[in-house]
Amino acid sequence: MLKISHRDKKAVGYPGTRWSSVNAPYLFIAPSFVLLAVFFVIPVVAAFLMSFTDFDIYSLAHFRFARFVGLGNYMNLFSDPLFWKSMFNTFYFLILGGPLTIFVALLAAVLLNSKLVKFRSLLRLGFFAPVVATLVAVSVVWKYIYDPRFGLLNYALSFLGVAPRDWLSDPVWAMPAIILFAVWKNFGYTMMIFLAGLQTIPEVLYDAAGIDGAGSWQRFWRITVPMLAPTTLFVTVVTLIGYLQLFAEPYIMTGGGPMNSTLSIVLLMYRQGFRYWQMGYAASLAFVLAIVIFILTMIEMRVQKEGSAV
Amino acid sequence: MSLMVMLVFVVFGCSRRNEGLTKITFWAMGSEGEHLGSLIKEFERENPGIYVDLQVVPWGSAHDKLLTAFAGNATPDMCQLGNTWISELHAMDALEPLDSFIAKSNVVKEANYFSGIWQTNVVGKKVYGIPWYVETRALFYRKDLLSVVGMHQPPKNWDELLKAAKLLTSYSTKLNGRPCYGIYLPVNPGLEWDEIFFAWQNDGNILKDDDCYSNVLSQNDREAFDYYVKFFKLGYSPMEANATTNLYQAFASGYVGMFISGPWNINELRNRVGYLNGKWSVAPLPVNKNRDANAGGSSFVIFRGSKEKEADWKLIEFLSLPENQLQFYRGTFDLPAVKSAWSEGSRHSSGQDSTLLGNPLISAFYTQLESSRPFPRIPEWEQVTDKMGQWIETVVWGKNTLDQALIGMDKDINRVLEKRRWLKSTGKMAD
Amino acid sequence: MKKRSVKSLALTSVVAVAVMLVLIPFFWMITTSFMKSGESFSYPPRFWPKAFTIQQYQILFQRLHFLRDFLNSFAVASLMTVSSLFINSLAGFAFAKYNFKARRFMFTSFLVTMVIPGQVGMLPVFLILRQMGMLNTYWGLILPGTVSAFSIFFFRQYMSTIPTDLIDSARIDGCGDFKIYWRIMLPLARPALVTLGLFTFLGTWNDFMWPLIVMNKDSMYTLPVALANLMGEHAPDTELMMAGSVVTTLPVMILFLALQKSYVSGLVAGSLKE
Repeated sequence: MLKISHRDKKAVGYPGTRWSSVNAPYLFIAPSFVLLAVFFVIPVVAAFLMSFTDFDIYSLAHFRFARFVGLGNYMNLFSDPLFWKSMFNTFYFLILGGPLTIFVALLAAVLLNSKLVKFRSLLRLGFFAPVVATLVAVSVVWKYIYDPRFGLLNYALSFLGVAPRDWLSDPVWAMPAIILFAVWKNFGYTMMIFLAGLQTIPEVLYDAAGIDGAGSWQRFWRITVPMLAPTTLFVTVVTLIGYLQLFAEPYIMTGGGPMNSTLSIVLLMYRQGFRYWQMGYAASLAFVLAIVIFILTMIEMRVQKEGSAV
Repeated sequence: MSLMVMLVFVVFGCSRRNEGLTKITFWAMGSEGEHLGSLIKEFERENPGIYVDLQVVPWGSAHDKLLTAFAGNATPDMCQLGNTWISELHAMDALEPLDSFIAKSNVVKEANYFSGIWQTNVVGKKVYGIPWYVETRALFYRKDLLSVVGMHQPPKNWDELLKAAKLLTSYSTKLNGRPCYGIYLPVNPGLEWDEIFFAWQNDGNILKDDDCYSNVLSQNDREAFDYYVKFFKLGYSPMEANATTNLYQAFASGYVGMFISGPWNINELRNRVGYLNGKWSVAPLPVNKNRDANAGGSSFVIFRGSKEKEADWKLIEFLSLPENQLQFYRGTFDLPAVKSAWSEGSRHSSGQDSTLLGNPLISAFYTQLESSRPFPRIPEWEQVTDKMGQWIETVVWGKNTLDQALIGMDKDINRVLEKRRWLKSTGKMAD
Repeated sequence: MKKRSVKSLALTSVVAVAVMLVLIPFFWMITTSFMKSGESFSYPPRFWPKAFTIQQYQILFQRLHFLRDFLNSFAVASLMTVSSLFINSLAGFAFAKYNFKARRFMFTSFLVTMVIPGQVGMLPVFLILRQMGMLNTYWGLILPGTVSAFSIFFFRQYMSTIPTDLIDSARIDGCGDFKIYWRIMLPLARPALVTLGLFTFLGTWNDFMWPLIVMNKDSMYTLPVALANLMGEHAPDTELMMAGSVVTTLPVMILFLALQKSYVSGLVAGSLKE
């Protein structure tokens, strides 16, 4: 990459410049840096401090009503069954929904990558449509699809002889229903990334394997999967981070119920922070979420690295 | 001090008025706001010089919106307030006490209102809201189905309610060939409060000691929760969170035979399932030790930040006149808070009674309103009811026994109230 | 050869059927939105209205202020797109073409923001906006989300590929730094601008949680917030809710269709970077 060094600038010397080029990069970065400071750095530090207070609805009226509580919020959090429930739910969603999304995406990508399939770009667009759709809007649509009496899902399942079910009102089925929706909504994105990854695999490899007598299944496992490893790492991390922040789906479709079976960490945080105005408590929740995301991302990258080294 | 403030405002108000138009901003919620237009126009005609900027806020977001408006110093002059929220906004010091206005008013007098409703507007010893329209819950029931199973009167007490639910469940299930339910009681925590009514009706209460501690471990509360849960355990009430989505269809198809709800549903049922008219009716809630339900509805409040408090009050008085209350009812089907408005109107010589009291569907609510009381007025109330609902839900689904749930509920509610106890103990909270 | 075409037909049909399944919710959403109230309460479910009616849309736009919400969404998304493109491309330019002391430090700071999820600072940001009187304003919604580390990196990558000779010769012609950015870099970075602009516009339009928190005045609602609120009051009105969903999601889907090439290329570039 070519860059202008300090010496170059001095050597050239340019008339009509208002700011010297030494200052220019700082001025160019200044707006984003200031915004970042005001709306990110300061708030994160403030949230950290806040998580050691009981800042709440009373404190919103008078700051003096806030108390320093030390690790109180964190202790309450870890002894709150609702917190563990929301952790469990979020991981349930992640562990079932994440791999499922990636699997469906990979399947779709491999199919669409096959030269045998016609109208590929059109079909690709169809799979991708849910990704660009507004999450709230399609959540609303799916809430009606899951309706126990008039919903499309129960109707479709009736052909398979499955009895109607009230998907979103059942503590056992509400989360799977949300997972199914999330897979539908998100797999198109991952599919696109996989498609790009597939295109980077040299055709020669497949041809060579074909000569060696490898079947298509073998070719998939021996060539496609290993060659896609970096892509898979990327989509896994993106899916991981996205899915840990589950919010709008349960907010719209279940409100976190029934029996808190779809209450996610972010939904709990929203409820505590912006419905009950327990902002200190909510801040501690936000930090725990951040730490969880950080650790998982690290683990994920480590695992993948070791996996691909083998 | 507050007198000083008042004085300043009066002076301010006058000088502003001399300049020309006095503008007051009024937030009204949902369909109430939409139907207020013509009354506001009439008010402006009678009070040239006052211009009312009416803003309509949807109910679903009204609560959050008010809190954030306050947080952002963007409150209107006056507002329609769900009267369970008055305490909350009072706690934030957002509302103007109205006692001095009431003292010199010819229109607004405490005696004109249902006492339970009036009480919802009192915090400490001061009045912060004037009831506008009222609302309580009553029992909607399928008259036709009940009489088929041999009950020609709506259930009058708890035993009869359980019996009615049982009979309707088995009758409708057999008739429709699929599971049907006698009564719809909400299983998910949220907007409905039937558990609390049952507790009250059993002389129980959710909170005690100046609303600083949970009372759910008391025997009376326990019996009430047990009664509530029984409807689910016995299969008389559906365990579904989405029943309300299609409640009207569910009621019409016999899927549920009874439900407890507010007066607006009279109109909803007429509009949505008009073919069912005459087959259903409304009764006051069945009595146990009493028949208490909550005194709900909306009040007018004036925000402390308002610069036009005299004009605000004029509008309140105008909307509190019996004839205007009745006119508002005709638009929205919100029941008048002023008692005399209920007998306002004509009794035709033909014997047809057009007053509200003459309509049996509506008069059920009048009976109910006379034994209604407010929810505790504390900012934590929403959290308390959420906690309660969540624990009861676990019993309904069989995850906890009632006693396990009550212990958890008790602990949770007491934790929520910790701040309140602290503020009380340090004397920082002014009532 | 013939065997191959049979296989091709079979595979294509399998994928086509899958695509159709994926698209059914959209199809049902659109047709239901043209039904009259109550028509969708039927079993088996209807996929086609008995008679098309725009009744639901009339209710939305005439009584429920969806036009206003639409304009809010449009204004917020457009302002966000313009300001974010400007600010991030400036920073990206600096990182791509200058060597300066704090370069490493600043670059790392931006990198860190990608690791910490936005929700962490949300509560204090709310309080800051409240203090500044910016709740219920467009800028209150926009400013906290303007800076995007992703966009800055994207611009940096793209602008690195623009030959530095161009800059040098502009300098000799007497161009100032900002002029170089405005006259040379921006026009040359057009594809990056289109791609990121599209990302930002769609992302802002579809965003829910932040507008839910910042916009509490109904006059300031964006479409997703308005739709979520509508759910609270009109849940039994399936047809109306579907019309609301159509109004909310169709504009961005059309926009995407129009510019899908840039969108997809950006998506792929984002995944293959570094």
